[in-house]
Amino acid sequence: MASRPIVQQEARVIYFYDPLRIFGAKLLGNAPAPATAENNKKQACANVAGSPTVANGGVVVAKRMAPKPDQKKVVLKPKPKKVIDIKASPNKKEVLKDKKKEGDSNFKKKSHHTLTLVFTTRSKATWGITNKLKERIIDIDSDDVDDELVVVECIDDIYKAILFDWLILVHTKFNLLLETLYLTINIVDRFLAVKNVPKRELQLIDISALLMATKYEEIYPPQVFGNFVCLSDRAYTHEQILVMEKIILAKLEWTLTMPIPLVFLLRFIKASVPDQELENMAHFLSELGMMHYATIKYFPSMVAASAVFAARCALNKAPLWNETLKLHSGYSQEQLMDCARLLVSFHSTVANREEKVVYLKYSDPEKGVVAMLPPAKNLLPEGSNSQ
Amino acid sequence: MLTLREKYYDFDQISSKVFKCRRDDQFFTMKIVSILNEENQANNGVPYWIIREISILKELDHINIVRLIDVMTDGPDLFLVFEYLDNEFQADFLKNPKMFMYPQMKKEFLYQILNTVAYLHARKILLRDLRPENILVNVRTQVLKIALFGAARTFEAPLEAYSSSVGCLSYRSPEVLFQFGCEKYSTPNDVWAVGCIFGEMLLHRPLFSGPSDVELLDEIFTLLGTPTEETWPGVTSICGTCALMGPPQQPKDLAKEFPMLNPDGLDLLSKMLCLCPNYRISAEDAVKHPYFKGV
Repeated sequence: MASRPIVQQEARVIYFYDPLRIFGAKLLGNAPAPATAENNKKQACANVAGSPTVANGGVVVAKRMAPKPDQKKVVLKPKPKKVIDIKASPNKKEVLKDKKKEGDSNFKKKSHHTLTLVFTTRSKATWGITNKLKERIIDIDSDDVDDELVVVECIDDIYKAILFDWLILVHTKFNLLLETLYLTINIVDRFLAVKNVPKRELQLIDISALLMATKYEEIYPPQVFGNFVCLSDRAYTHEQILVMEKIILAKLEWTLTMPIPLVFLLRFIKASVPDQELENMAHFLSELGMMHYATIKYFPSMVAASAVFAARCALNKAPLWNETLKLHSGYSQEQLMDCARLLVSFHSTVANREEKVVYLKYSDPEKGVVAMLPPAKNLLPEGSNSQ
Repeated sequence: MLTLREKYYDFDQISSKVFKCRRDDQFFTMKIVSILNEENQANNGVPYWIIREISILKELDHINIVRLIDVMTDGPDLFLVFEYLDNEFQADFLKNPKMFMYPQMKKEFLYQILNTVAYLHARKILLRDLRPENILVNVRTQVLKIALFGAARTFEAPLEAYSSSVGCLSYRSPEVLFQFGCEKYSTPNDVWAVGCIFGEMLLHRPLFSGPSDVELLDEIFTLLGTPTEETWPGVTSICGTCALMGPPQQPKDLAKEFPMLNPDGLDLLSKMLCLCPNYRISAEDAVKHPYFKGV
């Protein structure tokens, strides 16, 4: 994982608007020329303005940059539909037959010249793709290569898991503090929440965030020149790493003194009067939580408390939550249920994921093989498959 | 985004790396920090102590801590903009002769130092390099400011091992001087430094001034006695070898060494200079000590 830059992952694309709308006015006038980039920009701004940086479920959105020659272009293939040219149709009955064959029960005898139909028909005619679908596929983004507002990439859980997997490998290799791992994730999450970045820079952000976290937490931080450049298999230069470090620091306004789940986790584990198995299980669940965006909506203290609670459930500790834990965490068992269920659901699926470095880390005998233990059944939804 | 020159103007050099500047009829102190090393290369990017200093200072809001207003970058340089401290704020406050005019003034300043350290410890921040050079004082208004947080860092419990090569030698605690695997120092290290500053206020000279770790430990044990398993449980396992502690010495009578101190003052000093870090008074408790009655 560490040897191959993650930027090779194929981009997922979210479209914020219907590209056909842009051509509306010109198509009605039967103008053959496609819309200008200026029009595109105006339309894009109108549609994208006010759209959140973070999509549902805490998914961080990153800007799409102009496609480079070595990158795959995202091509939208239009669905081949039967186009009915109303003007050219000699017989209305034939049109009716065609519609009935297609099973359109809502079709009325009187044909409606809807604006959408006009747009669709004329746009296809304009671009000459009515009968030449195989010959010509239109790259609808070609006019928008310089417009970063039109199409965006979505950095979802898969990407976060890949980044996190890679981070844990590096973290283990350099024998870094757990604080460093948690702070790195915190820096990356906060940075991506305030800055849109292309996917090819994700690993660079990860490396620079790790560099900052090691400087903040470690006694002897690894050297940039020797260590950090090699981490990306030389995908990024020494200068790029240092420039990104300054960008992140400026964007986060140099605020690195942050509450991370680990601070609370250590405290709550202590309050739990733990054995080694419970401690390992709580750490495992907490790190699983860091892999997913779904946990971002919870306070770090709640994630930590939920990890301890879920660990106690998994190991059948009685009572599952006591007054001492309630006092020191500030949460009741009921308050932790949602977050704990989420962590347990991650536990139940982690063995089947491609990104399973956390699973392997806690499958080690040194960590008590806690990852291989069954997840807390009482917190799993009924009928769900555990590992 | 405004550039440095657009945001601040009327630059007036105070020292080689420190300037006085203005913005909207307000004065500020600007400190220039280069991220380049001796060979003019930014091999490791922003220095770790700068990252710590800025991120820690941004979290703090206390009358006795120099306030960080802004951070700006320009090429290889960082510009740290602090609240302006006028000429009446003297660096290295113990070298100020006016400092010793009134005994009450010393008590007032000691209280402010301890109050600030207690504030930092409550926020899980270790100062680690507290010394007179890092303390600015306005004798007229009797306001004290702690500056330079380069060696500071956050800490968590259970405590991690931290670097044992921090802080000015004269103000290092015995647990830091015992470098044999004893890197798990914590808040008592800062309290020891305050105790040393307190002693220096009273004697008008550094309390301990050995040029090396071993000689400094010898000075400490000459005044406070050689630690034993009774006075410092686990000390023999920490220091690794009794040769480091030298021949056993009895503690001196602090009342004779500090005749200017009343019993409350002697009690506070002895508790701050307790050899065992676990038995040493905390900054929070020191602030509540009877010595400060009436401050």
